[in-house]
Amino acid sequence: MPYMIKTNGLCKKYGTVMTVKDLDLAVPEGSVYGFLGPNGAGKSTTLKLILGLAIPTRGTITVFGKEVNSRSRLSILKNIGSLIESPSYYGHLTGEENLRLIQTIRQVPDANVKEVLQTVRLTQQKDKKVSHYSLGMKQRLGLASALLSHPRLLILDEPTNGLDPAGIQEMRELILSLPSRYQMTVVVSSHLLTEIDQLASTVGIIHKGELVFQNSLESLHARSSRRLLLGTLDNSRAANILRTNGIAFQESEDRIALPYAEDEEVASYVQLLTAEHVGIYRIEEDCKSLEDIFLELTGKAVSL
Amino acid sequence: MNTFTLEARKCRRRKIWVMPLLILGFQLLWTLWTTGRMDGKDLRDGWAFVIIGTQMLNCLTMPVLAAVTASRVWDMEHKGQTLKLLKTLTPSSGIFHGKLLYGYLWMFLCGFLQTLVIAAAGKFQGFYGPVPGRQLAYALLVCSGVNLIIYLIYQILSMMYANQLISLTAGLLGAFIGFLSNLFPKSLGLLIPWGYYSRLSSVAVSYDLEAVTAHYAFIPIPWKDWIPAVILLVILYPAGRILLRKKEV
Repeated sequence: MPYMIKTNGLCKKYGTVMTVKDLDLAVPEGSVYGFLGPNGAGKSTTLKLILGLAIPTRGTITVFGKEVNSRSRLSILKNIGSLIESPSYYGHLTGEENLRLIQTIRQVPDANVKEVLQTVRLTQQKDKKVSHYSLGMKQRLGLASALLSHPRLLILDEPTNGLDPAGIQEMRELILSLPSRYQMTVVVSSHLLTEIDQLASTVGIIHKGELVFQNSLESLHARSSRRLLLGTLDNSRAANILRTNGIAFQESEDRIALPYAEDEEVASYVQLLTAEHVGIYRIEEDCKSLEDIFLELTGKAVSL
Repeated sequence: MNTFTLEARKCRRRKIWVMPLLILGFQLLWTLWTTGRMDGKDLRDGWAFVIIGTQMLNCLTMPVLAAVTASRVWDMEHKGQTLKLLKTLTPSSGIFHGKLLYGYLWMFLCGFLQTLVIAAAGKFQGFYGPVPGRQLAYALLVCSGVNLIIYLIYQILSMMYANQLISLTAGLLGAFIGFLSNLFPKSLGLLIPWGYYSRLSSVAVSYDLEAVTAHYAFIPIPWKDWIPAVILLVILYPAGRILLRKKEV
């Protein structure tokens, strides 16, 4: 599979703290790569390393198949649009003036400015000073700046931070439309699992600077195994009966957890236990949510 | 040139011209006030007097102008967090040069107009002799050269620290030390770049303590005194470029 970004043993140390540890990131071409992690996990640092805004302590970064170094960096970045942390803007200039500056630096046609203003729905506000924009509008302007040169790779760091629910929805729709509209690969970081769940096709989970999961979103969902939870009036007797009959189970708090089974099999368990006079007061299906999986991967003490 | 025009576009509505205009206005008023009451011997020494007077005044005003201008030019990058965007679009050296050129141009313009003010005031007040073109050209060279060193100092400070109070305070301190350095012995004065405006002058002042008068006269250009200034320039310019390149945003 061709990869847009590949990092190999990437490390970044600030003082004595290792913010990014031996990171092996692999972003497939054409994907929306969700880079997920709690606050302070090292997401922004990793993205800054990829963009050359921070210097790696160790490791290599390859983008578009070329190793990023001080010589190749700017030629690689010509094909990358980015929005890191908060949007960059000149508050005393209008939205259009801001974009025109980037247009001059990027040397892209005039028409691109008009087009991206339409894409991010800022055409009506283009003549307003950016200092008078709302945070959502500033974020959209940041996205417009990133899109201006129709890059092959778009890197967005927490693009919905600080937005209201309507703004989040709007930004999400915009990001989702980009791969098909501009044939670009998108890397989007977030500390919100639901966000990544709705946006990404591939997921990387970072925790304390280490990549703890990297695969397709489906494979993350596949980890959410279903099981049956049985509530009985005498769990120890029920456990003995199940054990005697060779039925696999686990004792889970005040319940007995059985592997997920079809209806007939469930009926046979019930019959078996009631025949031995074990009262069953509840049977429920339990499914691990993405949150559970995330917490399992990152440790329960982490605040999301 | 591209980075310069970009800088000029970025600085739209920043009113960068206000401070040079104020400095120039102040200098004009000072020149008119001090030369307005001249007669006899004063008019004979007029050109030398007004040149060294302006240079001493520059020790006070130019560091403030440099600090304010550099601060105005860099503050917008810190406030809008635009360095992280610019550094992905253009080489750090381009950003450094664009800002240096744009900010310095205002300083140069101020120095150039200042020279014209001196020439005009001399003619208007009737100083003896023709306009000393060579001396005025040298005065402009001193002002422009030292301006470059001083502007580099404040460009580096404004670039490195988001809090522009640091740069502005350093500007006021520089002005104070620079002005005060006129009283220091020559060897000590050459260690203080803010005082170079008058230290590199081609005008000598001698005081007659009994008559409580001062005499102003042109002396040969002190080219040797430029050595510390050139050394400083050779250190500051690459240091600034490296610092910006290595600055993580």
